[in-house]
Amino acid sequence: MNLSEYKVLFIVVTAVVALFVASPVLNRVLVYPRTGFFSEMWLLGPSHKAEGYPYNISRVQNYTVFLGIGNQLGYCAYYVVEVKFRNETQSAPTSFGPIENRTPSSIPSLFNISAFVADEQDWELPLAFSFDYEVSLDRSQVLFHNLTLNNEILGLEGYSTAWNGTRTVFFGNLMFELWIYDAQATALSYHGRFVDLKFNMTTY
Amino acid sequence: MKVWVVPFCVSLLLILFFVPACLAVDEGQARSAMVEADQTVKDCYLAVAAADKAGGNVSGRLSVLQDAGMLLSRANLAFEKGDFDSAYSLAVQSKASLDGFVAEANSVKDAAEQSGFVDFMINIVGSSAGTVAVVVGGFAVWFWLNRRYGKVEHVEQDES
Repeated sequence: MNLSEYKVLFIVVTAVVALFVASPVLNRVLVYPRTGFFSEMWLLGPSHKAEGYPYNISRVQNYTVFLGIGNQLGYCAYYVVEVKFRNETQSAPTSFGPIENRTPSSIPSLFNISAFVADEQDWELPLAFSFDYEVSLDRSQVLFHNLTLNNEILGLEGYSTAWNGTRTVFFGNLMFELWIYDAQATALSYHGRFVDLKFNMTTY
Repeated sequence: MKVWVVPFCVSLLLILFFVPACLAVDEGQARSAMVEADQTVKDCYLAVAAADKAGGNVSGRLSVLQDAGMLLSRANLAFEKGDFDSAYSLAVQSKASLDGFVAEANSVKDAAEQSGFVDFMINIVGSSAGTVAVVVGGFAVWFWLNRRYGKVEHVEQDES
């Protein structure tokens, strides 16, 4: 028997067995490390797609959208979604520049929604809402009474929106700002992300 | 009419008027309950985050925390509206729903850490040691075969 004839076969068999035994380690070592750590936030229409968002709003009419958050931060996160409503002249959250420099709207939150999301998990909440409002006698502005969001009645007393003749709308803007709990600072801080719905508050 | 009827009725009216006022929750009590509930939610979040980091399955715990957070949000809303009774009640419910939560999250964390250690020993240490053993063993077998059968080949070649 000439052993040198079997040398290559022996090396190949040894290498295959070694690779098989090493596969659990290689499975962890050869995985490309996560480099992007971020949060996602989305709003879907009533058919659970990015379409059919409510725009022309009627008084006391129910509308449904889906609010979602995706956690890719590398740790379980405690998010708070601040629900705000504004007209054209009121402060809006900033959308441009580095995300850490963006600022939230200065108007107070109407309601806070807590969301605890594990790493690499998504969270979604159906939101059913309706507005109660009236048009002023001279039909120049809409005066809001309240916003009902998932059966919670949020007071909108003092909120109003004036007629915009250029855009021909009574503009309303429902915003959902994403805040995150910072365990080191033991406080919530604005996470630089928001989604919103722009409305025309119709007179019927 | 009997003499005691008038004082009795007056006393009853006074009780009916003042007792609910005494039992009602004031702003300070509601605020204090909400601060406590908020701190409990944060403590529970930190415990569940540690369990998640250790690799434990925390989906059930997160769902409980989610409900407690929602109760606290509703308590905040009631407080803003000046409904301190509801705010207090919701804050107490929120806190009560998290009774024993930290201990459970810690046990999930401990179990995950133990399972992670076994996993590390089998999949990392065991696999690495096994690979080295296969390679070294392969060389050893090859050298042994070479020493044993390589010499025979030489003898066979010499005899021929």
